[in-house]
Amino acid sequence: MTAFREQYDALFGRPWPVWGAGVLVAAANVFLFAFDRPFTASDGVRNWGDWVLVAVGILQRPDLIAPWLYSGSLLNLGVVAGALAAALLSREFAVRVPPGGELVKGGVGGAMLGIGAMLALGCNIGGFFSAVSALSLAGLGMMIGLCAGAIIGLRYLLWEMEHRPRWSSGRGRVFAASSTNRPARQPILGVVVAVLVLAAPFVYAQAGHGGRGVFLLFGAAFGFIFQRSRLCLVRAFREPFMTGDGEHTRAAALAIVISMLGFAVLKFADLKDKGEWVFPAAGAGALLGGLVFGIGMVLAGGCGAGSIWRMGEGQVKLWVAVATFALGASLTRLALTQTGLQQKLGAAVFMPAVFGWAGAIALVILIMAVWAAFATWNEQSRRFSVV
Amino acid sequence: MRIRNVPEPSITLTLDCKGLACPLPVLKLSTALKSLAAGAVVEMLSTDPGAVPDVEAYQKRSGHRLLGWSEEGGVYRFLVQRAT
Repeated sequence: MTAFREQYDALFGRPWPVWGAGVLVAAANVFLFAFDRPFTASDGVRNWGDWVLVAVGILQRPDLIAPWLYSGSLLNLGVVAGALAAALLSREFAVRVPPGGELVKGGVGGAMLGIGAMLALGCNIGGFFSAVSALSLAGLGMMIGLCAGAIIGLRYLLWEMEHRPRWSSGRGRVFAASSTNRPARQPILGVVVAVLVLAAPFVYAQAGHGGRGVFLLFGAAFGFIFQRSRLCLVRAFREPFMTGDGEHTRAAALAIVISMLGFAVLKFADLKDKGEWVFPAAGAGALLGGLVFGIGMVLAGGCGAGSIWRMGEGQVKLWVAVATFALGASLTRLALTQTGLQQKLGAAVFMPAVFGWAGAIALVILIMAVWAAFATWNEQSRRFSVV
Repeated sequence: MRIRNVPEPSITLTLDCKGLACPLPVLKLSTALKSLAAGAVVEMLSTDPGAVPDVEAYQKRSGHRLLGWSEEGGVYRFLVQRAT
């Protein structure tokens, strides 16, 4: 029994190694792309926002797919469920209510996630992680914007702490935390959630929706991995400029390289269309969208995926952020379409078409290596770290 | 509340970061430590499970010492000592 207890503790007592989580996320993303589509959060979140706009009569979309059937939405719902199960199994679930100022920041940051994701035609997952994997130039453009945005967002937080300390202080409250008297209650609930998620694909198939339910499983896998490892793309961008720690940057760079190689194999072997997930955002859209999204993710305390899995863990600030993320995305898309700017965000550039396969793959690996090397060098020198 | 491996030190300052999301607990901790003398101990209370790896990463990079941490009822308690 002690051997099992040790393994349970390795899975649910301690955080998973961050780089290992990067490998898992990359592998899951390649499987998901092979199955149907890459991982993204903003697409499903916009589906939710669109339903709200339809309900209040701002938007007419007879073609809009129900949230429980739309792939992007199902991925997100899976992420929430997976993170909830992981948090419960680890006795880390609690409803955490922040002070009022934090809720405002969650709302503003969330809206910026929505605006940025629509300008870049994807959040940091769909527009950066999966886009770079798909060898889309827009993904690298968004990376530049995200990096600049994270620095600006961090500068803002430091300014706020010094000049407006009351905005981040006040009484925070915790509900439904695991109690020492009944330590088994959360893990038992976690098993129930996990069983429900695993049952979902069968229920969907029974109801005549084929493989739809599998998206929930993929989402749950992502949510589970993120919660247990706390692998975070916000940290990957922000941390070199904050504490100087480079662990998440290296893990993100590794994840992108693995995911990109998997996507490249699928595309090169014609198992997937070469133009898939290559969106016309290479240009102002990716740069500006990345910038706005980057500021938003630092303010909200979570990126596209991060804000959603933290919902599942019970962080109320991120509940607010996801709500404004959804509305911000839908309203921005509406505005971009009506003004015709949607067509002017940038070009769709499939990098192998410009640099050749070897050139494009080498370029992505080089950029990721430089990013990881920068974070590692800065860990020692702390040249760019402010904290 | 139990602190692993260390006798309870005298606490110079308590930071209540309950309810705050990443990265504010670490930012506040860092600002507080900068204003204190060497050897001073800051007690930081957080409700974010992410604060555990965050504070561990922070102590590794900043040189300040994490004396220990504990968790009870969803509240994480960290004791961090300013480096000399």
